[in-house]
Amino acid sequence: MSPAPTEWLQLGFIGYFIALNAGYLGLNLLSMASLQRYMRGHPGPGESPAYLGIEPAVSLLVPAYNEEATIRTSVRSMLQLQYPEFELVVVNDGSKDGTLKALVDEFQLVAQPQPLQLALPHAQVRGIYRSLRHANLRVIDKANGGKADALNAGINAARHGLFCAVDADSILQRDSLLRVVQPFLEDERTIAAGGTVRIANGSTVRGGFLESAGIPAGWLARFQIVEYLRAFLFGRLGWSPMNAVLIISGAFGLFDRARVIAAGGYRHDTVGEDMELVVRLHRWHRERRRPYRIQYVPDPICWTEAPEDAGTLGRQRSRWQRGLSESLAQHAGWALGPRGGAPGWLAWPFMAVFEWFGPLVELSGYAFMLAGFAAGVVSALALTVFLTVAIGMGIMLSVNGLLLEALSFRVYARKRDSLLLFLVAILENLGYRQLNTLWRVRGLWQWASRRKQQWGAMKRSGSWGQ
Amino acid sequence: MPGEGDALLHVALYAAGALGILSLLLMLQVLVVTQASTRRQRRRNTFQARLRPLLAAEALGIGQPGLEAPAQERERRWWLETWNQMQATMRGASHARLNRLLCALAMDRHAMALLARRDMRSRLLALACFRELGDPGYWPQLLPHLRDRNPIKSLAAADALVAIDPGRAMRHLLPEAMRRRDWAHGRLAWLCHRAGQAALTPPLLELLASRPSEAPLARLLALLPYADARALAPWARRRLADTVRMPGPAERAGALQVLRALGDPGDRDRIVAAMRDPEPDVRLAAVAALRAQATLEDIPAILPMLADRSWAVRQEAATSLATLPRATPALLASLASEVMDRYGREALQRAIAEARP
Repeated sequence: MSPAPTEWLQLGFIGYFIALNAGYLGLNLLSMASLQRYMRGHPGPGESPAYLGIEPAVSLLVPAYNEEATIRTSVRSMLQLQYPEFELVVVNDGSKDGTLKALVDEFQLVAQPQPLQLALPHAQVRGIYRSLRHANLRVIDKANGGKADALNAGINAARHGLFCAVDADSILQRDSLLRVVQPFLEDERTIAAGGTVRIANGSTVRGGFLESAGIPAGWLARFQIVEYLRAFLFGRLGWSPMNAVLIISGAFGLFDRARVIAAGGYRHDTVGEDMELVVRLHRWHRERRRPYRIQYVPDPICWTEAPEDAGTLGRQRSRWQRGLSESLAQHAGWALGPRGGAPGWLAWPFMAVFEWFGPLVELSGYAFMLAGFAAGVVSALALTVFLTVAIGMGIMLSVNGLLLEALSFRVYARKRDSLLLFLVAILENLGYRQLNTLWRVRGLWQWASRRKQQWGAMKRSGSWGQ
Repeated sequence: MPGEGDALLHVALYAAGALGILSLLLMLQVLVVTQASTRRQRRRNTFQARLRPLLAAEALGIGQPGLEAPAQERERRWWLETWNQMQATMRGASHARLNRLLCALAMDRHAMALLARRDMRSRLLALACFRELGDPGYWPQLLPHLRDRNPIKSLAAADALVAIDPGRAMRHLLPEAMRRRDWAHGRLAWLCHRAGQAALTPPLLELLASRPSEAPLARLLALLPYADARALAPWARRRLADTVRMPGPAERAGALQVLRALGDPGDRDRIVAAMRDPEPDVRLAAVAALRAQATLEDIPAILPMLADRSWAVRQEAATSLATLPRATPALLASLASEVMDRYGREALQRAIAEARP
């Protein structure tokens, strides 16, 4: 007798979670190999790369919207980056607070008759300022157009061949630029390099720079540390050797300016402009058979404040899901076509199955199996197997992320921190991941229903303000 | 069937148990790895904290007792790492003293043993040591590593060879660089910078004269800024004047770069002629070359470039005008008012504002 439809569904959901976790395990194993190769050839934790004297000049682009509380500290810290030659271009994207005034007062800005090469479209520029105190600081004041729009204006104003898109609230290390530029020095095909973003909550930050990493007190931020290690760090690093990294975080990424302009710059019609640009760069180069590399730098070189309240975190995760959906949908035709290559034929399907529609399958799986068990349709056996693969394998993956971290950068080196993170890795899979799935399904719904993209406001602790 | 279901349930439970045990073992490994690396780091820090003052005293020529080759393999490696770090900051007599110390304690033989190992870290450490040592006696052992398939190792070997004998190294390095696509330009440029103009220029000229094909030629042209402009000038002038075998845009731009570095007023006519080149990169190089030696008499030649089709050429022309020697603010202001092209005028206003705040 053939299995009933409910049995097929049970098998399907169990099979999905096995495939999901096995896929991530495979990526983790690739990450481990990639990490070992990287650690052998690069300075270890605590050591900076040596100055060679031939590092290319970089334009640091910082879009800012309503950042009055933190912009002075952020800009001051970025001006102190240890890098031979760089310029800092702050783009005030129509802030409604005193962001521009804070910059003018702090850095002695004066109006500059600066023509802009309109290689990329953006909202109207109201004025360009340069600092009398810092020759390499300029500020562009423009009408509000969103982060992508602000970055395009920055790209137009940038003077150097490489630009680094940095969030105004990113906390960098003094050698962050030096580290993220290394792929460009090692392989001239490199057109983009992404920096690893870590959670700054609980850490000591002074003068805009991270002094020491720590574990935050709040459980939401703790869960995000483990999540970042598992999914964002070692999940993405595994794609790098295959030249199939589909996301470079908007918080810190270094790009070849000419190539980005050729590919059309950042798009305004998506909330995931960082991912969409990277996917488009893959597409542009593969369609034209131009050699290129998009690399991922595993060093922890950029730190960001993670949301500590459920509301903000939920909105962030919904927004990320919308951005991911938009990016993948816009390039579906290329990805599965003859010019897809590793990013199109491997990374895109993986992301589509496990990240794009994955939350819907996961949520349906939990709902079906639990409700089915309660209704007597799903057996105890099936439920046990399901929970084993969904939660048990998830815990194993989270702990594996801790192992990779211990083998590489050892940011959390104390035994107490390691044990705490182990507990977090277990608890993360008993509620937090499922909540995350809910938020992501909401994001999927917002994408599908074509809701107008919004960033929302993040509640900041403000502990790193002026 | 109930029996089969119970058996499968047991299998599922065992699988859950196995995953749990695996997770615990992974965590145990995390703890072990973290603690082991913390202990190792602490021991290493202690060793290096004890060694550094001794090395510093030796570098100053006031040798202290207690400086001897460590017995343990691990400590010998730490010794070499510390010695390497110190040598990177030393020059002159101090550098030489630490080199003599290395040989006196036979640590160079340990470095050679590391070079024979398969793991990359050992080889890179050894190559870094030989770079600091700079002893020609090790040339035969180091040369084969120049052709290592791994670009990091081969470039480290190149670095060591350049430190030993820059001229001889460049003769091996440049042909290798033309062949290898995995040697990024940045690293190669750094090696040329370290080798110096005297070492780089002769082999570079020979290779340029051999008329390589496009891709290798591009790699050579990118090294022109690191070579001696005076020695390259005849080549540059010949290429710009060659109407039989016309040089490509990259070669013309490269030749103009050389003339820019030279700054010879005798090349002015060549440079001004190149400002009418159909290629924007060549015109840019020409404007930059004229800028290096421009006087107020060159204003008529530079001013029309403010209306060039290329954005970069306009900006360069604007900067050239704004930074002319003895150009007064009044003169520049009147120049700006004369420029009819709107984009050129804006470029000049920008350059004036930046040059004369």
